[in-house]
Amino acid sequence: MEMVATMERIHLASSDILEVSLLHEPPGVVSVPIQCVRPKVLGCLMPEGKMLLRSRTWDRAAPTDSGPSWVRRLGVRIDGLETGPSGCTALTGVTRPRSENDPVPCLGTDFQFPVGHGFRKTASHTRIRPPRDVVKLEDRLHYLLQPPIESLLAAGSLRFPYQPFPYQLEGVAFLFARKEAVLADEMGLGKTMQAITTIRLLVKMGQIRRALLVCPKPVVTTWYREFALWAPELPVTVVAGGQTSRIWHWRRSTTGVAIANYELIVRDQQLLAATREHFDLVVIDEAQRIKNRSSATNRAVCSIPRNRSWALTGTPIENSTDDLVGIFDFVSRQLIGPQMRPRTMARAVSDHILRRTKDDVLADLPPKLIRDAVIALSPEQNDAYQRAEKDGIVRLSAMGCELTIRHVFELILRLKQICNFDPATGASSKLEQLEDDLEDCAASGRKVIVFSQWVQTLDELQRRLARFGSISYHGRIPMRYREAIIEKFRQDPRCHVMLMSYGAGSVGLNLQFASYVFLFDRWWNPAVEDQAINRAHRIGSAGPVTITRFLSAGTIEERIEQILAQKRELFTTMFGDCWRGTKLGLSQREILGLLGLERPSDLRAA
Amino acid sequence: MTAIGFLSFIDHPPQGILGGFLIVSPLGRPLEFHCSAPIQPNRAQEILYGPTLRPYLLGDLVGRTLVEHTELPVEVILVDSQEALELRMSVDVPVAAVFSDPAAVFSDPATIDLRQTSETLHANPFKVPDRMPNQVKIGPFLLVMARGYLEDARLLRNTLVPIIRDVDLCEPFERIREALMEAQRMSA
Repeated sequence: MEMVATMERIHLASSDILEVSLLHEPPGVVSVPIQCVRPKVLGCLMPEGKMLLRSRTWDRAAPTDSGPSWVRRLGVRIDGLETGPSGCTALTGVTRPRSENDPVPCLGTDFQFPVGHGFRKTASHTRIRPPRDVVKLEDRLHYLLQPPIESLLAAGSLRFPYQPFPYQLEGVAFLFARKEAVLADEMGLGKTMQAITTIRLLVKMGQIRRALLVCPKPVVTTWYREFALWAPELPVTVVAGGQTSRIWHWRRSTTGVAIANYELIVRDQQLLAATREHFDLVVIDEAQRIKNRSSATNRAVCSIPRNRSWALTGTPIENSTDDLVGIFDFVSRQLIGPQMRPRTMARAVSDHILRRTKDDVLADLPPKLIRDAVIALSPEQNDAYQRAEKDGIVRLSAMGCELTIRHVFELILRLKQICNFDPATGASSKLEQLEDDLEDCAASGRKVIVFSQWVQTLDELQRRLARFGSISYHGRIPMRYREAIIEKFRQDPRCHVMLMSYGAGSVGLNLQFASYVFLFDRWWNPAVEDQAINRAHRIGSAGPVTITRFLSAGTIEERIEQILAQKRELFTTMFGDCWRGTKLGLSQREILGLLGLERPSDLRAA
Repeated sequence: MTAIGFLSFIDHPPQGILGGFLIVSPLGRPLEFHCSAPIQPNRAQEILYGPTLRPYLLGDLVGRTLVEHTELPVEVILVDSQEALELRMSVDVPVAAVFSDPAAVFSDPATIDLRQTSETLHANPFKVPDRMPNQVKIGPFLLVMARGYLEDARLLRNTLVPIIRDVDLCEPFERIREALMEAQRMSA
């Protein structure tokens, strides 16, 4: 059937709700995909016949349509909904629940799962499957006989800011059934939402009362906000302050969700271990923080008394499979060990890990366009580079047995810095290119994030990009100012550029209102770069995200990229795309090879 | 508390027919579940029962056994095949076969009499509930009852209409079938 728009012209944003009248009254809430002439899922039909849009991207392309009004040509089709012979009537209006100027993709109204799912062809059932280690038939049937996740959410009258994607409900079903789980979805797929929704469901069903969420310090406020958004009825406390209040919290708090950062967990390790009541659930965000098995963080987190252990991470393996062993020290100790072969390890953890990539699940996520900008050094930079490399190599070669890997690193970092700016004159061909690109971005009102590994570089960029309203966000910015900086970048139309360090800006931030990401210099590990890129390219992205990776031609940067590209290819061959971004560090031999150095037989580790 | 029983079966050759009986709360939560071992009719039964063999197996043999083993009382029993309606003769609560799509009634192998009596109804399945005395439409579902139990329609309405927004009357059958397949897989 076809529905024809009756309005003369509308501009649609993600915050819009189209009011749709149906001749055949929907029995309750209808959840059906609505497609326009472009084959794209736009949203869902909401209670009272309102349509909630998922994306605002389609309004941008629409004006190019020929004809008096693209809306006239919309031709919305509703699939899977039974109607009488006359079908549906028409779009009858458009409302804006939030300010039109609000650049944040606002999803408008609450979503509540339709109770009953008695909508025949449109109903979907996300089933809870028993984990593999549940072996008794009685226990397995206990899982299989549970209602689908949608019914559980509906029965609990749980409201959501927008309708979760089906894969997110599968994630909820996965976590719901497991006491030991790693949710390793690619960044930007909504691990936060999935974890919070499952916690909400478990609390609602009385299966847990007290949960602890451990996350990096910079994202504590993000988690607090996300809990307020996705589970407003849950009591959430950020554990902070002096020792007395923390002691009180750890000892007295028996219900609700506590949020604490990793450093605090290390500091309060003894207090936590001494608590009489176990946490019903401990969730660790950015779980790669505990990948190092001998670290204090790993020990502290693993010692928290708990009944359920979930780890959230977009990069379960950053450098080697040992990283995964570190995470499983927390999730399920002794399930895997450092000596295991990768394939054996993959089999052992397969039932505990859920990993989806954007390519797997988000057909309608805006595309991510990656381009490598290989830029020749300016003459000044080239002179400085050649001199530094030649002198440096000579000096390193002369060190003989005194040579350590740290010396080599120092030279590499020095060369990379010259690739950014000539130390004497400040000349930078990368900056010239960046300025050209930013002119275009600013002219079209786009937001841009520029990443660098050095604060010094970011400072220099801020000085020279001031006309674009650039602001900085890095590790030297006090925590209390960071939220305001993000808000300014989000809200201020004159502020086009955010300059971020990989360390501070690659984790946990939601910057999906940015359309362009520039990697001014490259990190050692593309998994970290991916995390940085996915600050902008994630659910709610306003449109395609363009990533520009600057590389200085004929320099150490290009050589590093070549080695990492070869490793990526090798790993993809072995593990497929689901293990993207893994095993990407450089060995000592490779690092020396970057400078054409031989490995001395007694090279010291640094 | 209103409890609803759902009875479903799977054919698992060569072992035979397995049945599962699930009792759920008005919110769809499982309260009790029983399943049977597979049964296979012998040659004598096939000859003696003829076309009534399957209703006998589903309704009288497997269905009745499962219902008799439950501890919780149920208000109504819903089945996903009209062949199991024979269960009604063995229990004192209404039994009805549930169809989410009215047209599906006609593809049910047990709908012989409907096929024979109503070509016009076949053309317009939306009108079926109004004309067939042993059927009742509750929410979007069509319920076919055993003939001869005049009170069942009223009892079904009384029980199901207040909760029709909370329970998808077809969904629990999926759970039963999955549980039966799991049980079969584990015993293999």
